[in-house]
Parts: sequence; C-alpha cells; structure tokens
Amino acid sequence: MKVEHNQSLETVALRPPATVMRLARMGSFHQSRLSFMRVLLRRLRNENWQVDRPIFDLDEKGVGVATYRISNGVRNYTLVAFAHELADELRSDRVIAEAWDATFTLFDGEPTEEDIERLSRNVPLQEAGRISGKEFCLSRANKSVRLFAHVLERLSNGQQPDRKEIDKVGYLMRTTAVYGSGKFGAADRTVWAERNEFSGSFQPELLSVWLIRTFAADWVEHLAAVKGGSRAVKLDPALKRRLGIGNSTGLGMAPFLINHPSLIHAWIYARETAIARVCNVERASAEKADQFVDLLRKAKANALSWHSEHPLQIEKINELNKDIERLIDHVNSGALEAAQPWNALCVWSETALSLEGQELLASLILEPYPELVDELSSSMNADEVSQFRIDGSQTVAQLSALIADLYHWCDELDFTRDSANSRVWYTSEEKLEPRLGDRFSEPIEAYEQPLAPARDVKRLQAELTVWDGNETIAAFLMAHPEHRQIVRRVQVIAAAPYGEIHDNTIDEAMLPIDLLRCKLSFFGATKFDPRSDRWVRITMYQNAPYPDELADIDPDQSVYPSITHA
Amino acid sequence: MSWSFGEIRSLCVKATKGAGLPWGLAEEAAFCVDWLERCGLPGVDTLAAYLVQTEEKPSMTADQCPITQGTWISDTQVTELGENLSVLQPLLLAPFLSLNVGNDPARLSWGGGSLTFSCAGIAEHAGNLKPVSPQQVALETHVHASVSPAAKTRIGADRDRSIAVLNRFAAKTYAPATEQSRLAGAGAGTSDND
Repeated sequence: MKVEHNQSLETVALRPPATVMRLARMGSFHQSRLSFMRVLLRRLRNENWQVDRPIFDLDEKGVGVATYRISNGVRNYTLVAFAHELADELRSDRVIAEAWDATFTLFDGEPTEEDIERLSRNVPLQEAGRISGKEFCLSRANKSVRLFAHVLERLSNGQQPDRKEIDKVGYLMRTTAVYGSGKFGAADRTVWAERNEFSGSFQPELLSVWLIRTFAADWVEHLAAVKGGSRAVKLDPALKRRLGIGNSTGLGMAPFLINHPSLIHAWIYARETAIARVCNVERASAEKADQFVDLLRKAKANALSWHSEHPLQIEKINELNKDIERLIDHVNSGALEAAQPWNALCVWSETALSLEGQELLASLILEPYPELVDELSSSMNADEVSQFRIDGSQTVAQLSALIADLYHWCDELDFTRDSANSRVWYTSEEKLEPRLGDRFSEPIEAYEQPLAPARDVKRLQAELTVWDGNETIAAFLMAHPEHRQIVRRVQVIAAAPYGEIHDNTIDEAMLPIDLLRCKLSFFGATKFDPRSDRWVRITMYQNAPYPDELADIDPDQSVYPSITHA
Repeated sequence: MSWSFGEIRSLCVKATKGAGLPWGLAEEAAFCVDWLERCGLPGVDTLAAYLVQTEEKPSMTADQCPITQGTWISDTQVTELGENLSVLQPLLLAPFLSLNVGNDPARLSWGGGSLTFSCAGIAEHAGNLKPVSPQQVALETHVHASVSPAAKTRIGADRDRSIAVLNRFAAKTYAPATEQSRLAGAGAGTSDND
C-alpha cells in the first residue's frame, strides 16, 4: 500500500491524568505488552534461560520438597517448594490463614542442604517465620480443590482431564500472597534492582509465580502416578497449557497504589506513551491491520471464556462482549483505512464502547507494534528515595497554585457529607490484615491509615488559605506537622501526575476491586473474578509456555491463543 | 537472624505514628533510621530510646524533638544550627544535616559525643551516641575527614531488643479485631474449598 505523508495530521497527545486516573476506568484496565509477566517471559526467552528440577522429593501423600532452578549460565535462582497436607477446614485464601497446601521461596543462587533445612523450618510458617537476605520472595498457594481432584482422578486412570472442567477454573492452584522486597526478612529490592533480569517491576515475584505453575502440574502428575501406578498418564501439553496459576487477592494490595505514586506514574505513563505512539501511526499497513483483526477474533473468544459470579463483573463482561462485536463491525466497515487509524478507533470508542471495551482496545492496539512499545518496559520503575525530601523553600502561594492545578478535581468533592467520609482504611491487630471499615459504625477511626489524599488535600488547602502566601512551606510545616505527609505527596505528584487517583478513596461508593484490577492488569492478569467489592480472583500465565516450551512457543503470541485451539 | 531495611523502615513509620507523631514526621523518622543504620550507627536503638522518652514525658515540646528539628533543618537547607538548639537523641539530627552538607564533611557534637559525616557516609564518631538527657548541639562544617561510604545492607540481631520496643509502639496503630471487622473488613467470607 502506498502511503503518502499527510502534513495535516496533528500529533496525538497522551490521554490526560484526569481521563485515565479515574477508579472506574482503572477498574477496567486490561493486560498489555507492557504487563510484567509478559516482560519477564519475553526476556527469559530472548536470553535463553533454562529451568531444571534438581530436587523432587515428595512422598506418597505428595508431602515433601522440590526445587526449580533457573539459569542463564551466569546467574541462578531457585524456587524452593514445600508441599504439605492440608485439612479442608484450614484452607483459606485470607491473610489470617495459618496453613497452606504449598509454600515457596525464591532463593538467590542454589541453596545448600543447610539452606533448605533452614527454609523448611520457616517458609511453611509464612508470616510467622523468617527468611534471609538470600531469599527474594515468600509465597504460598492453595489447591483449587475440585479441579485438582478431577485432574488427579483422570490422570491416575490413564485419562486426560475434561477440557470444560479445566476451562471453568483455569488453574490447579492459586497463590494467596507473594511477598517480596524485604518482607519477613527477604532481601531488599536494592539487592536485585540493578540486575538486568529483574529490570522493571515485580520480576522476582512473577518469576516465582511462573515456576509455581510448573510445580502445580508436577505435583498433580506425581500424585496421579502414586495412585494409578503404571496406568497413570501425564497431562497432555496442550491441555496443560490451559492451566494458568490462580491468585486470590484482597485489600492488602489496594493501599500499594496509593502509597507508591512515583511508581504508579511510571507504569501508567509508560502505557499511555505506548498508546499515544500507536495512535500517531499515520497508516496501518496491511500486515498490522490483519494482525489486529486476527487479535480481535481471539479477544472475542477470550472474553467469552471469562466467567464470574459477581453481579458487577457479569455486567462488565456482558458489556465487553457487546463492545467486541461493535468493534469488529466497525473495523469491518473500513475503520483501519482512515488516517491515524488507531487514534480514530480510540476516539470512536469513547462514545461507542463501555470503559471495559475502551481499555481492551487501548491495550490491543499495542499488540501489532512491539517496535514502538516494548522498550518502554524498562522505564516502569521509580526512584522513590530521591523524591522523598520536601522542598521547604516553596512558598504557600506556590503550593496553593500547585494544588489548584493538580487537584482541581477535588473541588467537586464535599467532605461535609458523611457519604464522602464513609470508609476507614486500617490494619487489624489480627495478623496485620489490611481492612476497610465504616467510620460511623465501627470504633476504628483512631487507627486510620493515611490513604485518603483527596480529603487530606482539601484539609491542607483550607489551612493554607489563612496563611500569608509569601511564607515558606518550611514555616508552614513547623506550625502544622500534621500536613507534612500530604505536602510531600503534592510535591511528588507535581512530577508524577499519573500517580494520583482522581477519586475519593474513602467514599461510600468506592470499590476497592477497581484498585486491585488496575495493579493486577499491570502484572498481566486475565479473567478478573471478584468475590466481593474488595476481593478478587484472577488467572495468570494461562496459555503461556511452560519452562520446557519457552524456546518453541512465543509467550507474546500465547496470551490470546489461536482460535483453533480455543 | 537479620532484618531487611524495608521492614525496618515500615516498622519505624508505624512505631513513630504509634507514639503520637503525625504520619509525615513518622516517615522522616524512618528515613533517619535507614540512613544511620546504613552507616552502621544505632539508628533503631536511638529511635526506640526517643519514643520511650516521649512516652515517659508526654509534656515534652517539639523544641526538643530531633525529628521535628531535623525536618526544619532539611526543609530550610541550613548548615548552621540555632545557638540554643537542644534536643533528645542528637544522633537523629545527622541524617537531616547530611542532606545539606553534600560531600563536604561536617561534625555534629553534643555534651559527651560527636559524629563526623557527609552525605555519603560517616568518618568517625566519639563518646556517647545515646545520651539520656537533652543535649545542646553544635555543627562544624568544612571538616577534614575521610568519609567511608554507607555500606550496610542488613540490620543485625543486635537490634532485636529495640525492634521489640518499636513493635510495641507500632501495635498502637492496629485496630483490635471485632466480629464485624473480621467478617466484613477484608471482604472475603466465602468458602475457599472450591
């Protein structure tokens, strides 16, 4: 196709924070080429990392230890897995659980026997144990009881599991916490942040999860062999690939998005930059257009296989399915032949599609353009230390102007209404579980965590108005140290505008699952299945290659599996 | 057994808040302990001692609070101290001053001790690093000294006793469980045996 340069085309700008950083939209985000699981697998494949299993010492009940070593010939990491026997009444996805089906740690290098002995006394205890600077992550997983039993039964009888049963759940095990970055004694992030293999965000954690998926499959095959003896078979590779790894996540993840504005800015800014780059493409080549049409069909199959029992999500999935139909019709009517076709499509979507559809589209248009998108993944981290210091020389007038500019969306919020103050984020004494309570009916206000920037900015604003504009912030904070935290935040947001959520995070109508969905989409999760307004199950690595398949299967092509196998 | 810097920072924020200081100052206390411990100095012990002192003497003013005075130093970027500045646990001022002196070493001294440092680390210390009473402090800049870069990557078990103290203060930020919060607060409550 001959493409003429069109001088009249205007540069498409990034969508502004006021559009992107609304909870309803963040709660509709989809994974993309920049999601951290995809960044990880792409790198592991490109750098030819190899996985083996030095130890697999499980008894007839499936109890014991296994290790998975991943190496690029220069550096090694080892997932140490402890498999347990767990009574059903103890199986809980919540932080308050004290026992799990299996527990894991990611070790820096190859553990000695002494290391494994030490870990065996601590890792199964999770939060009640201690790990060391040699370990990067601590995690645990529980079985999907029904699917695990089904697969075990079938394999032990020499049969493959029912594909429908597999697709209904999507995983043999779900992780219920993956701790990294210094938690419970683990190595600080600074220990590995400069290592190329972990460039980006949450790479050790997601490496752990990918290896846990392999362990789950090995575990069920081991138990099937114990039970069925020579009759037992292994999982068919194509079926096995349909098994991702689940994750069950509650409120613990939500404060993270509010507490790390520079990092969140880096994530969102990278994705918005990618979207804008693709929107500025003048013409879609036939090859890119075909690729996109193919992806749309696959995305349709993918959305149809997404199930949830939660009324909110059922409605969103229904809308998404309709959106994809509308999108296919629109593309079939020649939408990709326009100038700046991707931008035209996004502009069209703003009125034609629900937020689910708009955000799926925003992620999908990135797929045909790895050359414009993928390098942005290296910018998805932040130096929070250098942002910490407050600029005390700023004047009261300057800070007020900054707030008027960055937080004008707060003007419409009325905190004299109870509904705007309804929630309290707090930490329970019981295993330090993060919780959300009702300010007016529970005795929890004294324990409130500082997770309401909108309210705090309004309070700060009110105080600033009675100060002389020429006074310094240093003087203001000496008199009002209670505003110190929010002043720091405003100064950080000035350089990280995508780091602030433009909604009231303690409003009666706020849905914590929107926060969870945003973070998990950046991880690369699919099939969000809320269990309540503050708890969600997801699937990770579904259809992704296992370690022994990584050389042959492109992980970027397996996110939306081909229709013939779907 | 050793501690990561991340978990100690998080503990310091909670403990300082639990002792009654606002969140913004609690974050500064964590910065302070982090800086001191990376230099191999007893940051955890000093903060724990200070929080106990505030508990024992609630009438103490912000004038004697090393965190409050330290943030003023940081916010105003001064390299000269007020003539009559007298604070508890003067060691806690050093991290804030380190932000202002850059690579040019300075010496902070008080009644029975001193510390020579720059933004990169410390050169030497002398005398009592944890005096029990408020100390009048003085700062000498442009000091000739050879600074060793801060190099600690873990916090050792010798801090365990002070960490227990910090945990006691941190616990004041945790809400006692009620049945309502236990059931609804985390939002699960469905069976996980599916």
